Amino acid sequence: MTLSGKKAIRYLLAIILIFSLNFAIPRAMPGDPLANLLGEDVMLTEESIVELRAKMGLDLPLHQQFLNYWSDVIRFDLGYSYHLHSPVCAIILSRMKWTLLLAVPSLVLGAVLGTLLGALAGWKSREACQKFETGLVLMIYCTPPYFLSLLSLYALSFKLGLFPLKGFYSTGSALDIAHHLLLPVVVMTLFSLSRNYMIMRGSVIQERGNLYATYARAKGLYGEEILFRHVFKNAILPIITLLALDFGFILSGALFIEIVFSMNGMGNLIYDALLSRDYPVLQGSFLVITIMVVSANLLADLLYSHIDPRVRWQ
Amino acid sequence: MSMHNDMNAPVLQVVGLSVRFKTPLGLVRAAEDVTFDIHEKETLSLVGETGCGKSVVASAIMQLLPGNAVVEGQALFSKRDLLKLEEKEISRVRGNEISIIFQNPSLSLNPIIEVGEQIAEPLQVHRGMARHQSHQVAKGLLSRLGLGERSLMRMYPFQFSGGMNQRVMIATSMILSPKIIIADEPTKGLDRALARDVVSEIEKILDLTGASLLLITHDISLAKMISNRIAVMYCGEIVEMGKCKDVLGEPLHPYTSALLDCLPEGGFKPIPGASPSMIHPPQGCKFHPRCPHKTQKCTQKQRIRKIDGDERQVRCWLY
Repeated sequence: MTLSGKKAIRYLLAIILIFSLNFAIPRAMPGDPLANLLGEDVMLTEESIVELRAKMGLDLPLHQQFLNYWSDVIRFDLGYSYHLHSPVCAIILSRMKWTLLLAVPSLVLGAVLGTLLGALAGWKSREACQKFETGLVLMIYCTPPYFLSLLSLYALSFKLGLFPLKGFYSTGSALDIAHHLLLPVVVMTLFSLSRNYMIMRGSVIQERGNLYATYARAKGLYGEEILFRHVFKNAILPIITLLALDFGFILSGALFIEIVFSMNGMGNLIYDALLSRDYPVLQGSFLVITIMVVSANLLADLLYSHIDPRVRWQ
Repeated sequence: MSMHNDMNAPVLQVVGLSVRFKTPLGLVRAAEDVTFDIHEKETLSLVGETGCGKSVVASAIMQLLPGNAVVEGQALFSKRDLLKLEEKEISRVRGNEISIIFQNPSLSLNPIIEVGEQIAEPLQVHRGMARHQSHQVAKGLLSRLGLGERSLMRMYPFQFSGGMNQRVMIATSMILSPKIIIADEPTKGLDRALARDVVSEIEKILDLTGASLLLITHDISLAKMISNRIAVMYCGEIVEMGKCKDVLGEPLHPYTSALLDCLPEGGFKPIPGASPSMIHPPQGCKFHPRCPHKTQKCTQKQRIRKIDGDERQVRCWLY
């Protein structure tokens, strides 16, 4: 079997294990599993409790429940939210597309720009203008995300009126959505950029001191040629791990931005569900996050072994 | 190896080269007043103990020293002083007209780039050759060095032994047929048989390219095998230089004799005393505290002097 096949199976096992935990936790928690599955704040009459317990199969033996759980998961049936009065799967899907619209461009831009600028900053770390740039990025890196969001919202949207104050859209045209998204995307890009920048800078500074970089110079490579032909590929390895984390935690990563900019994405959904103890939504989100984290890790693993042959051959 | 080197013109003239490193402990005098010529198709060996400044000389010529090095003197090559060239200009000389083989092949090669690409790289960088074409040339070269299997081109340095990586470096160093190849301890860390292989490979490429070789080594028997002339370094200075058979056959400088006595053939006699500090070297002749023939005069500086003709030079008050 190929190495990537083995890896894929390992990740699949992780998903099955986590999904099974998701089945076990509400049933193992103290109290009525029905309350644990519906959420604590849902008010029910005695008759509807009996009716619901039968409908959800909670009176069946555990192994039967387990099989039912898996057949539901495979059919994307993640339960029903009595708070939002809608199937969990439908809620998540409608919220997810907005969060992805916000987070994916930010993370991609942040990764590309952060890596390139960070690499150049590490290569020329002794130059004055690079030091200034690094100081600036370090400031962004140290500012809490919500604070920068609030600041930009206050200055650019509230005072200057350049951008809308809240939401993903008002009229719904593509231009309108882009106008709403621009500021949050810029803020989130800056954060992702600053993280990747700092890691890449440090990595390049470390790698450029290696003998292979000197040998590249001895072969007649000049200036940035050495960086991009030799150092870059070695230095980018830690970034891949960071990207996997970033993409895996897209939903929670966008949380602060969504709250400050009052955007109804996944972040806000999870936040509200936590406050109102809407367990079905939380569990559904938990499963979605699981899938994203695991697949991001799998991708990083494959990418890593594509770039670094030493991983591939062991 | 041809012995008619006297008639060939010098390709590289190193004049009064001195290298000092600024360190927190003080100024390290790694090389002082180093002067030598390398002639066309000649092999000159720079021998001496570890830490005597041999490698520093090689790196200084190529401007590969770290930023805390202060370099003085001249290295004349094609009517230019290599030590005064801008980084952009020297980068056109490196790997193209003068190439260097480092002493640690496994760390010198990029761990995540295929060796074929690394051998072909100088063609792409200096000649602007397309990747595919340059790989063809590299493959041809490898097969001339007896590494002709197609699959080797696609392998990575970590899959090779130290000896094979050394061959990769040798192939890389000669791919553009440079005028001078500098080999910095090419056999360090290799066993006798592998060292002999590497030496025969170096000899093969000298024949193929007609390049001159500056061999930096602590291994006197290796120097004896392939060099025409030999220069003995002690504590940053050349103390004796001349034809290989003269210097090793009838050493003039007491240090050269002491060094030969250390060899198995010389009876394993160690040199008394310890290597001097390069921050506070002894006054005058740097070897005098350990020298069996020292006199009052030895605390004064002696310039390197020519003895019978141009070939033989020695830095000692005895002559």
